[in-house]
Amino acid sequence: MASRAGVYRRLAMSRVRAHFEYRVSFALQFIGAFLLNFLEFIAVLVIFHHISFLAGWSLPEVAFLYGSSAFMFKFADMLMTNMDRLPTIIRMGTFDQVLTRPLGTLGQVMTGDVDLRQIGAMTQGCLVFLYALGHVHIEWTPERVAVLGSMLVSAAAIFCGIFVAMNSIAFWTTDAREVANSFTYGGQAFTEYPLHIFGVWMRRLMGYLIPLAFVNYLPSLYILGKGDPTHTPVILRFLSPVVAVAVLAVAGAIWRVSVRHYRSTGS
Amino acid sequence: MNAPGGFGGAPRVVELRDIRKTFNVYRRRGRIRRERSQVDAVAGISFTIERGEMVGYVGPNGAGKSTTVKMLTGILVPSSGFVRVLDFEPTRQRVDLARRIGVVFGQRTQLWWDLPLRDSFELLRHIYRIPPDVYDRNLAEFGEVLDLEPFIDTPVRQLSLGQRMRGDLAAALLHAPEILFLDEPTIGLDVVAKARIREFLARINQERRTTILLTTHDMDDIERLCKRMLVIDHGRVIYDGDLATVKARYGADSVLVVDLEEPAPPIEVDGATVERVDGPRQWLRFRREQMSAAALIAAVAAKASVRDLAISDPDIEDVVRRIYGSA
Repeated sequence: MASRAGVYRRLAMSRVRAHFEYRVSFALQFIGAFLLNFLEFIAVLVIFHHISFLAGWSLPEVAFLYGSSAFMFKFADMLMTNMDRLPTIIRMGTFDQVLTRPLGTLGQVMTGDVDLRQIGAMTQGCLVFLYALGHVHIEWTPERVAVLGSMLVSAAAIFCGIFVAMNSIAFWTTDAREVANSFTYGGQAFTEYPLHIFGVWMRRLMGYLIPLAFVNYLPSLYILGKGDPTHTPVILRFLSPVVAVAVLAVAGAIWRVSVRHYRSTGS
Repeated sequence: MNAPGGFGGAPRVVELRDIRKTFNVYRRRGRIRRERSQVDAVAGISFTIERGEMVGYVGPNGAGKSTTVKMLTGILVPSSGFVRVLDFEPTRQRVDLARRIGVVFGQRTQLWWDLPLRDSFELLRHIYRIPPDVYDRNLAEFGEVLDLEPFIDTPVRQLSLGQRMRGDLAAALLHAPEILFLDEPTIGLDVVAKARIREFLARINQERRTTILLTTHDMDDIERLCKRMLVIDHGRVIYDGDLATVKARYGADSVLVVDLEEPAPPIEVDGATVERVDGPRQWLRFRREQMSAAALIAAVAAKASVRDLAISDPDIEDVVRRIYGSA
């Protein structure tokens, strides 16, 4: 298993080196990704310029959700750089190559490209999150630190799982990208705000069926000591790691079934 | 079938029994409604290949050649039927099988576009966990035979098609696979590059006893490389046998082209038929086993004065055309 991880690391490094071949382009796109994402946060600031609370949450508290969501989503997005390209990989028939090598298909697709420019986008989420940590009122206890750590790891894992599961649609239909994006990028936007501002059906679908509530909202209720206007059981605030493992397992299963459905192309 | 006593393993390395692959095809009907129909890309194919064989797999576009190769290499899941390659079920045991076979698709490279050939080989060494001695030996041998040295440090995207194909072949063989699947390996190459690749394949097949299945449009590939030919059309095998037999059975006709001193009506000779007349030139079709070329020429010369002549023997493309025609 160790040697297999070594192979994936080698494959990933070869992609990173390939991007560094074009240094100026790399630097410009790195800065571009940072600025583009920073503009997004400006939108949140504009909202708070007019109101000081959003459904009972202050600006630093919303920034806590926004920052953790953006930070971990961009991290997942970086790991899944090539997953975005899966519809093209399948349509062009280049997935054939993946299937002829003695390695797992998922690992190969993930290491097929690693775009470090996403670090620019990640930095923005990270800065907002650090700002929030500096401004929210948290009574720090070892438990809260542990929940914070597990929240971030689980958030990244849940996003990764959603990327894999949703992009698996590409094996079934050629028009997969829009559907996949509405749940991946759409899902991230959903976790930037407190869950209770959304309607009940939206909460059920995006919050629990696609368990985005576990990305940051539920553990944040505990960390920030907020009440839950939707009256969910308190235990849910601690279940993010369990949900994350479940999401990864389901995503892996969907992927495996979908790969068997691969049709390749003519010739 | 006479098994040639396998080298370290069952003599039968590929076995297909009644394999089918059906694709759903959607056709638009009106704005939203779509009509689903099913197309058999492969409609019940059976054959076996024994260790050390070099088999040519021939058929027109869309006949199901690539689909068959993809089912043998674990890329496509068959709709029904039985497949075993080296005793593995290709899609279920894909990773184990991948270690022991090599695959080359002429239309697209297996290499990394942005890496020099040498770096691609190095990555493959790790992916296939090739022992260092095997790797060094193979790289040295292929480097020499395929003359990779001049461009081994060039990024793959800058290679010519012929160079890239040589690189692809070496890449597919570095891990010393027992079977090599080639899909159109000479497509788009010039005569010199084709000859070099054929020479290399013949050598690998003879010296290493690597079993080779080769799909191609190029009948020269088959004629120069393969003793056995499988012809497929509309998803079915319509001929499976050796090359000499197929020629004798389907197309032993030779053609004598004569240029006469002046235009004449078709020359009547027993055992030959005039196929075409164009001014003073006539084409006479005959079978060598019924009549020698010398006898025919003498007979023609007795009836008209001949200025020039040429004989063309049947090539494999004629033969295949006839097989399609009779199927």
